[in-house]
Amino acid sequence: MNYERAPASSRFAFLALLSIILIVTDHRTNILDQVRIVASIVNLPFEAIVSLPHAITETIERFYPDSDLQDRYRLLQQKQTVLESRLQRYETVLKENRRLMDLLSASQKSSDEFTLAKIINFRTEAFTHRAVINIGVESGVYVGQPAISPQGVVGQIVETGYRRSVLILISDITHGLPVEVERNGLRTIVQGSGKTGLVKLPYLGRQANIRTGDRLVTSGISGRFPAGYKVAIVTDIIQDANEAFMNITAETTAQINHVREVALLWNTATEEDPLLEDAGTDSR
Amino acid sequence: MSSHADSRLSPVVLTTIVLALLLSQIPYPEWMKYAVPDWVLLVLFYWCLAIPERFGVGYAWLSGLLLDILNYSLIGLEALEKAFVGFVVIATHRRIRLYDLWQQCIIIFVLCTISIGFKLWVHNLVYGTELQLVYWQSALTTCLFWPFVYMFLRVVRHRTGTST
Repeated sequence: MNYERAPASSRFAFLALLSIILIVTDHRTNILDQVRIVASIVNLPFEAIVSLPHAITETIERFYPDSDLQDRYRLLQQKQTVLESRLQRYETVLKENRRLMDLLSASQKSSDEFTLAKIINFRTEAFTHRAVINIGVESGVYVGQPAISPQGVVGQIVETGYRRSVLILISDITHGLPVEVERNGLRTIVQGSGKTGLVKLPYLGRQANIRTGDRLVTSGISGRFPAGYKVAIVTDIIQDANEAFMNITAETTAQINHVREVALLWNTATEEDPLLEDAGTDSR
Repeated sequence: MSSHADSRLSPVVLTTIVLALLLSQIPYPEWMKYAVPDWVLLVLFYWCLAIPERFGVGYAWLSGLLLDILNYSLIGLEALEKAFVGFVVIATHRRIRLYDLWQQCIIIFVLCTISIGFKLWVHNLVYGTELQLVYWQSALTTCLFWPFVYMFLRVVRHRTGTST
């Protein structure tokens, strides 16, 4: 073959050029998105093999349940009763809230619909904090879709594939999330720290009213995350007289690296108000 | 005349590359997240040294591209790095073959350092990732794993007769 006879240097030059074109196209345009969706089918067999040990132990556990299963069952039943009785009140509050929102003609309406997705693999390696989930474009997953767990916000979708999507976790160094302090409504942005389960609040001045133990919830300002979901609890505040901003660390309420299931929210607020979407922090 | 027109890849080589790709996809414990060896690079390094007339820049590029798809990262980034490694090894394979294992380790360390640096630089431009020394840990682990990978692949090659 002629190709095989071509010197390695010219082949490398050609492939290097091709790679650079691919990188720039992938980053700057969304032409390659369709290609990615098709190419992500390659991931299915690989992920199946990699998660095989986990799948096997899971199956075995199903046949040999723990001895405390009955206790756990009873506990869950009690919890269910409590939650259900509480839910009754929630329904009325929700209706009342809707009515009041209508009266105020507020645009920020979020639906309660969500889809459960299973986390297949965490990719919290050197550069990025990401997780792969088991649903993709065929379920209507879209880029920017919020993912939460019962304990709090986990992240948002950055990439979709066929039966696979990639979540960026809020602890990723490039992820920003608009939040407010639950105690006093102070608004700021939570930035990933690159460390597992930790986030930073880099934009609070020295006089800001914040203390350790403060709970941070989503403010809903970006329009991407509905307001009121738990995000993190402030654990550490360092004040340096020479710095204009405080050095604040917070611990995410969701155990980001241990959750096995996330709920993907179907956010209708962004569709209703396109202006809000532009203000959203972009993670890519 | 050697059969350098034969550009088909033997199933043995293919299997080892797939194995390396699988190893790179395993979930690693938290404490070694910066120190995961670049398995694909090691396997590519070996085959470029062992059968440079059949294995080369093109296949290295393809394996890198596959790694990009598997990692859901920027398409073309790993591909470029792996093609670069393939090119360097192909161009100097006669000299590298004469080196001792530990000298080859040093070459791998240098190649890893360059490709991690390049990857970090692109990530820095695209996502704004901070440049931290800790990211280069994997260069060290990769070069430390070279003797084992070398011996393993040599046994595989001789047992299966994958040679020129």
